Order: sequence, then C-alpha cells, then structure tokens
Amino acid sequence: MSSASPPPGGGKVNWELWILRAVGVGVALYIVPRWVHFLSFLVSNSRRPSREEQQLVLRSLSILEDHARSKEASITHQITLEELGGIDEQDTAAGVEPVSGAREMPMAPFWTSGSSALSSAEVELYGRQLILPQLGVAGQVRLKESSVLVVGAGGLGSPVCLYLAAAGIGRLGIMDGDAVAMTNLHRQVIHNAARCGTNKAISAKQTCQHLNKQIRIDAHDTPLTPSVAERVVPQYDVLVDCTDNPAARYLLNDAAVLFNKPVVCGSALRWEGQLWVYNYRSGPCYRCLHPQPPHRLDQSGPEGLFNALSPGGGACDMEGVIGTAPGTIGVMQAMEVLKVCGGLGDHSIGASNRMVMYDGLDAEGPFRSIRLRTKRPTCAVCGDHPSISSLQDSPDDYIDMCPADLLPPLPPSAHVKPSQLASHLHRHPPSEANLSAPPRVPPILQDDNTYQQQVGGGDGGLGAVSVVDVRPSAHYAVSHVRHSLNLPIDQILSQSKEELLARLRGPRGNNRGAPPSPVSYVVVCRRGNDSRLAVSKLRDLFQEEADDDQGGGGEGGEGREEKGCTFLNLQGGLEAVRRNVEPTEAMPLV
Amino acid sequence: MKVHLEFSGGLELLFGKKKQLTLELDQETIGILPLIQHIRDHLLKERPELFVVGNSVRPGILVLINDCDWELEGGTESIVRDGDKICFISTLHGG
Repeated sequence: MSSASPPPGGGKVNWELWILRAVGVGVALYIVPRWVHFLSFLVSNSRRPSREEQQLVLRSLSILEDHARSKEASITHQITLEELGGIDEQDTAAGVEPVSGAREMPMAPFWTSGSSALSSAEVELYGRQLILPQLGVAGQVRLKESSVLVVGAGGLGSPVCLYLAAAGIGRLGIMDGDAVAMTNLHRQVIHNAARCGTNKAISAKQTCQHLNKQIRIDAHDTPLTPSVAERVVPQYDVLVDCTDNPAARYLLNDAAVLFNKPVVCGSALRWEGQLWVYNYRSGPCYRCLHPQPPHRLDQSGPEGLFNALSPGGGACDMEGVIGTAPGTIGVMQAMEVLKVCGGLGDHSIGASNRMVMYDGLDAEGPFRSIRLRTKRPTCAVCGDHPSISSLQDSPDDYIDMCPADLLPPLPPSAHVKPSQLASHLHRHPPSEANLSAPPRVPPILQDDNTYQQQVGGGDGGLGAVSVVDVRPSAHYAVSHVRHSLNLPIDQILSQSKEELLARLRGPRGNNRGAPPSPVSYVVVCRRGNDSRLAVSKLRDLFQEEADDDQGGGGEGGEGREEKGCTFLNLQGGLEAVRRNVEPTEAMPLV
Repeated sequence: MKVHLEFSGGLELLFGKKKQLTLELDQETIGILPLIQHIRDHLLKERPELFVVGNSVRPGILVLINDCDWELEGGTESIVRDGDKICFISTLHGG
C-alpha cells in the first residue's frame, strides 16, 4: 500500500493540503538553521554554572519571593484598614485606638531608606512636603518628634488641627471644654452636624485621626484653667492660642512663660484677623504687648464695660465673623508651627518679631505685617523682676470677663423672668390686633415695623407689654419677637433723651413728653447683658423726665410709677426664652 | 502738617466706619498724646471711653507709627511729624 493514498475526491489534487505542506517546509527551512545555531551555542557553553552565578540566580529568586510577600502584606494592610473602617465615633468612645503595627510593610532587602526614623507609610504620606529642600527628611523627623498643644478647637483651631495632623506633627493635643453647636459649623469646619453636643476636642480628634492614623492625638475635653494648664502645658513643645477670650489668652501666656514654651497666637473677628508668635527666641510675651488686661480696669466705673462693648473685645456671637477669617489665620498659624517645629524657625514671623494683620475687606492690601516692640524688662511675667511666679497666685484671677458682673445693678423688680415673658407672649401673641395668632406658635417671626404692642393685664403681672430689642440690627433682622422695636444698644448709649423718646414713642406714640403709658417695656437682647445696661440708662433718663415733668417734685422712684411706664430687663435674654419654646428650632437665634 | 490716620480691629466703628482719615494741623510736629486727645475731641464719633482712657489709648489698642509699634519710637513720648502714618488697632480676641 502506498502511504500516499490518493486524495479524497477521486485523484483530484487537493491544493489546499499542498499549500499547507509548502508553508510547513518553508517554516522548517527558516527555523532549523536557528535551532542548529542555538544547539551549537549550548554545546560551546556546556559547563557547570559557577558559584557566583548560582548565588545570583538564588538571590533573584529570593527578591521575587520577597516582592510577592510584600505585595501580599500590602494587600493585608489595606484590608486591615478597611476592616477598621477608620476610627469612627463609636470606636473612639469604646476606646479603640488606631492599629499601628499593621501598617509596616516589610522592606525589600535591597533597598534602604534615608532615615530609619520614618516608616515607608510615613514617607508615602508626607512625600510631597519632605522633598522640599528646606524641610527634607530631617525636618519631617523633627515634626514627627514634636508635640503641639492646640488650645481651642473652634474657628482658628479647626484649620490648625487639620493641617498639623496632616503634616505629621507626632503628638497633637487638642483642648476645648465646649460642645459643638450648629452655629459653630460655618467656621469650625473640623466638626460636623452629626456631632452637635459632642465635646469639640473629642470631635476634632476624631476628624484628625481619620486624616492621619500615624500620629498620636490627645483630646483634653476641659476648658483651660490654671490647674489644667499646670498639668497639660509642660507635656508639649509648642502652644497654639486659638482661644476666644482675653482671660484664656492671658492664662495661656503666663503658662507659656512659666514653662518656657513658644506660642503661636491667632485671633479673628468680623472680616479681620491677627497673627503673631510670642515668647519665642527672647521676644516679647503677650503681657509685654498688652500689660494691662481688660478686666483689671476699674470695675465700678464705666471703664469696666470696655471689654463687653469694645469694638475688638467682643465675641463672634455678638460681632459676627466670616468663617474664612479665622480659617485664613488658622492656616497661617499652622504654617508658623510647622516652621518652629521643623527647624525653620529663622523663617518664623516670631524670629522677626512681627505681627501679621489680615483684613478680608481691604482691597488694596489685605495683608500687612508690623514690627512689634521687644521684650519689656518690666513685664509682670517675663520681665526682670516678675510678679507672677505661679498660675495659682497670679494677680489676675483669669476669670473670663463676665459683663454681668460689671453691669450696673438693677432692683429685683426691674427684672422679668424668661418663663414669665414666654408664657405672656404665648398667651398674648403680639399682633396688630392683639388677637390673631394661635397660642402655640412661637412669637418669633420677622414682621412689620409696628411695635406698640399693648396687651391686656391678668397674665402674671406683666400687663401691657412692649418689647424693645437692643441687639444689633443684623441680629434683629434674622429673627425677633413679632412687633418688637429694634433699638440697638449703641444707639441707646449714644442718643439723647429726646431721640430715644422719639424712638420709643414710634409712629404711633402718644403726644405726651414721656413714653406712652401705661406700658412695661421689656428690654431684650441675646443673653441679658446689653439689655441690663439699656434698662439702667433708660430708667435713669426717664426717671429724670418724670421729675422734670413734676417740676422737680423729688418723687424718687415713684415718679416713674406715676407715669405708668416701667423698663424691665429680660433676665438671661432671648436664649433663655427659647428654652421655654417648643420646638426650640422654631426660634432661631444668631 | 498732615498726618494719615488708620483705624482697624473694629476701631473704625467709632469713627463713622472710616478706616482712613487725614488730619491737617497748623503745627510742625505734635506729640502722640496730644494727637490722641485731638482725635478724641475732633474726630471721634461715639463712645470716647472705648478709645481713650486718661490721656492715652485704652488698653488693648496698639498704636503704630509708620507700621512700627510706638514702643519702638518712644511710646507716649513719640513725636509725630508731617507725613507720618499713625495706626490704631484694636486687639481682637475672637477665635
């Protein structure tokens, strides 16, 4: 039998098969010489591999193995973090701390890092800043070895904590005794709405720990007091003043001087902010710049009111503040801390003894820097013969300047309790006709400018009531007691008797030379301090008016009663009334 | 002489919300304290006690002469000359 059986198809040539065979031969012709060449190459090199070559191969294999293992470790690392889900509120409450062991990846044996002080995870996290030649690995290590206490986790503290945590300050302390409130969130961006009611230090720690798990963060959920300062301040290298009142600022200054810590100090209000670094490199301290604290003024005289009413001394809730003003200053505070801690102190504004001032509304030059005085030899705390040698026996008691203690005293009968006013307003909702509004609707809504609200008696002694709101007009514009009169405190203090009378009488006032009668003017503000000041002045003014009308009859306090007009102070202000309103949200206050 | 005045940190609220004012005086120079009294008497719009205590500025107000703390220029003894820029800055406490 011939092996070449005739192709199927009855002797007919199968062209396709032939073509395939031809191609096969062609390929073989191409490959075979190369095989021969390869075989001859093998033959010419046929010897045992040397010891070095063996080791090379083994080492390559081991590198491959290590690489695989590190890939695995990195995957495990990611899973661990994902399983942790970050450290959330419940975890922190339950005492869960970030896991530090899981993040270390095994280092490839052929690779060495510039410093053993930074882990590969840290190098990755801080890489973009540590390649800056001014900082470098050494600077980053300095940041890691630094500890910084941020006092106040509010508008300034928010950016300070965020940026310091992100930059890798090794130990961050955050101190605040307040709780997060909705009115904070437009500027205190480290917190969030879900954390309202949570302590700010704890809330700030949670946000920062989410941002960076490599650092240690300690929340000190307490206000700054002398004993707290004595216990906490020595634990840190640098202090950041993000407080919001003069008493805390003086206390922090004295603690900083006594424990020899530099302070990066910021403040902000309205559209402005100020920034400086004190007690640094033999420079001045806060008391050198402001030897006399506001609350050491004569508290019995009008000077005692300075802080309560001073243009710069007020608080954010009275003066107003744009969130980006403390934000801008806070970011710059963080920058100063990074320079002081990172070995770049020469570039700090503390080294040149300057204060940076920011005015967000100044189109020509929003930033300016001014040269400050040097250290005062006569300074009470950092001078040559300091009178303050301990926080406990300081001549200042660091009590926050509480305007209520400095305001003129009023007789008990000149006060209205918030519950009294709330119940009165509920029963007699102010309206043009005194009738219309349903009783349970909170009587707070902006309305018209008609305010001569006369309500019948029989409601716990208030009788006919007219509400005078002495808050700034911007506060009043947001919400107020319906038909109340807005007469801001600065106008009450500056205007003449006649002007005030005209305002009190209003468009519908009567024609007599005194406020309309009979009526009780309930004077209100947010917290009951400005209203107390206003009542004091109004009583004084219209006391005289009553005496004048009676030809100087010397009727004393009865003169006012005879006019049938009294000025009453709402104790605790509208905030206190709000606690008597359901639901509280229906009465927003700014 | 002409003196350029600047008010900030909220002090401008006491001067009709003007942050900058120019003052023309008949003399060649003026001491900083007499200048402060002049400002109080002629420019201040309201609540003088928030600007002046005794014969100087209220504690908490920084005085700058040509962008330098007045303590570097002689403090209350400083002499203001024609063309000088005097800033009054109320210290902020908000945070």
